[in-house]
Amino acid sequence: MARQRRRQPCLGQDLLPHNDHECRCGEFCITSVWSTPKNPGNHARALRRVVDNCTNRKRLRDADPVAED
Amino acid sequence: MEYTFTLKYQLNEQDSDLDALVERLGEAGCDDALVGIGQPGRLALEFTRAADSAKAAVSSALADVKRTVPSARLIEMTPDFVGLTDVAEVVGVSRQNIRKLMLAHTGSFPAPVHEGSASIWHLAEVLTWLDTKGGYALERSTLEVSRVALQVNLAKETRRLPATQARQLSQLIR
Repeated sequence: MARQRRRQPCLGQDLLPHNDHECRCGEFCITSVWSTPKNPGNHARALRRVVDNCTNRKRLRDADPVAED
Repeated sequence: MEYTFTLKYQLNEQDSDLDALVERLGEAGCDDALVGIGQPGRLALEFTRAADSAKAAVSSALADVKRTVPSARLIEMTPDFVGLTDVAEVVGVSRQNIRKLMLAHTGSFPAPVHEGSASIWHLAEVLTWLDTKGGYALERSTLEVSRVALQVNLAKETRRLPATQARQLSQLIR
């Protein structure tokens, strides 16, 4: 988490740390993290998808599976 | 049922306060979406919306965004435009498997939207073809939502076609 804001309902923004010129996650590198999402389970899964799809993270994980997971 | 889909928008320059925009979207009922603002001038919402049909889920999402950010222009709804790798991922088989199918059924496999070094299809057409062929466990919600995505993207694209040319061209194209 790079940025946090106190106001409701958006708790903060999740900025993937490897946002550089090679990054292809695009729009969801900065994404809303709701404090009171309509469905917490769905929200968690959606955030998980963003992180899992991060190309840089994938590359790191492939290179050194222990370090990332 | 729950439907997962993404709406991508181009933002107007006046929408520069992205934090406020995200808050407004949350208050407008888009707290069932991830709001992505990682690309300059872009807004992406990945919805997981519960509704009676995919059409109802998408219509209400489009309406929520239009009401909250009237100046945003829809670029694309996903899942619609896909390559073979994307199709394989959705269906849960290997890319090789889908490619073999395509080559074995060149006459009936859906025609691509674009053919080139990376060809593109409408997901709904490929899934419908696979569904008719049988033997694939396709998720109903994905099939339904991809059909709506195709319609939304087509509706958006026809804005580029002058009405006077529409009839003339459709007579020439099959």
